[in-house]
Amino acid sequence: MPHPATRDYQVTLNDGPDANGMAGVVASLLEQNLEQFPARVRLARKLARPVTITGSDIDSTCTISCSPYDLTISNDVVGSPSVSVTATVDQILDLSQLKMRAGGLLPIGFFTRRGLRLLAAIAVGRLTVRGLITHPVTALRVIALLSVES
Amino acid sequence: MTVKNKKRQTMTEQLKFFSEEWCTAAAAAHHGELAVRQSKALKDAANFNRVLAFTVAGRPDLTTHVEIVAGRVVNWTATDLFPDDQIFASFQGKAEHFREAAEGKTPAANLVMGGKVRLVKGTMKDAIENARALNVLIGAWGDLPTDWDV
Repeated sequence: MPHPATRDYQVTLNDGPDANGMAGVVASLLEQNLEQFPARVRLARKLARPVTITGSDIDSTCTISCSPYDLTISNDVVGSPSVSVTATVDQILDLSQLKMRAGGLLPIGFFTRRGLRLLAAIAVGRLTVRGLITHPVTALRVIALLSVES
Repeated sequence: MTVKNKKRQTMTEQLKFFSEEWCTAAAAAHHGELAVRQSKALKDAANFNRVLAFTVAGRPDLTTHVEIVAGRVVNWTATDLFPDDQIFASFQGKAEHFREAAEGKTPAANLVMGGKVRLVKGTMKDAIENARALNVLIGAWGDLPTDWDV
C-alpha cells in the first residue's frame, strides 16, 4: 500500500492493512518527515541495508528498507538488518526528538538531557542498538531520518 | 442501606463513557495538580490552543472533543462538536483500549505506538512531542466513575 509521500521517493507500508503498530507509526512518521524535510531523501538512499526497530514494551517490530527509489516498512524482521534498535516506547519517543545535523553525522541531540538519558540507557543495556559499533553511521542516519526535529 | 441498595446507587452514579455527562466530569477533573501535570507534559503549553478528538473505533456516535487553551482543558463535549477543520489531532480506538490506558495498565502512548489507538488526524511529530501529555490526559479518565459498556 503506497503512501502519497514525496513525488520521487515513495514510502510503502509492505503489509498494508495488516501492518503492525510499530510499522504503521514508523511509516507515518517517515512519510511526514520526508514531506517536511525533502533533503532527507538523500539520507534514506544512503541506507544500504535494512534497519529494525523493536518496541520492547509493546512487542512490535518493524524493518525499514531503503532503495534508491523508495522506502519500505515491513512487519517484523525482514532481510539481514545491519542495525537493530530495541527500546521502550518512551526511549523511541526520545530518540525521535533528538536534533541531528550533517545527515546524522553530527548528533548534537545526544548532548542534551534527553540524549544523555538515552546514552545512559545504552550504556547499561536498557536500550540496545545492535550494530552500533560495526555500523555507527547507519545507526546515526536512521535516527536522523526518524527525528522530528529540523 | 442494604448492600443491594448500595450496589444500585453505585450503578446509577456511573457515567456512560463519552456521554455528555462523562465529558463534563472529565473537564471538571482537570484542575489543580492534574491540570499542572497536564500542562507540564505539553511541548509548548503556553501556546497550546487546540482541539483534540477521541472516537471509539466503529462508533462515530461516540466521539468527544476536548478544547485546550494555553495548555489547560477548558471544554469537553460529546454533543457540541467542533468542525473537522478545527481538530488538531484525532485519536481512534476501541473502548477496551481506552480503558486499558485509563486504568493505568498501558500508557496511552504505548497504545498509539502499538497501533491499538490510532492517530487518524494530525501529525506524528505533534503526537510524539506531546505523547506524555496524552498519557496524562487519558490516564486521568481512570478517576472518573465510568460505565465502559457502550
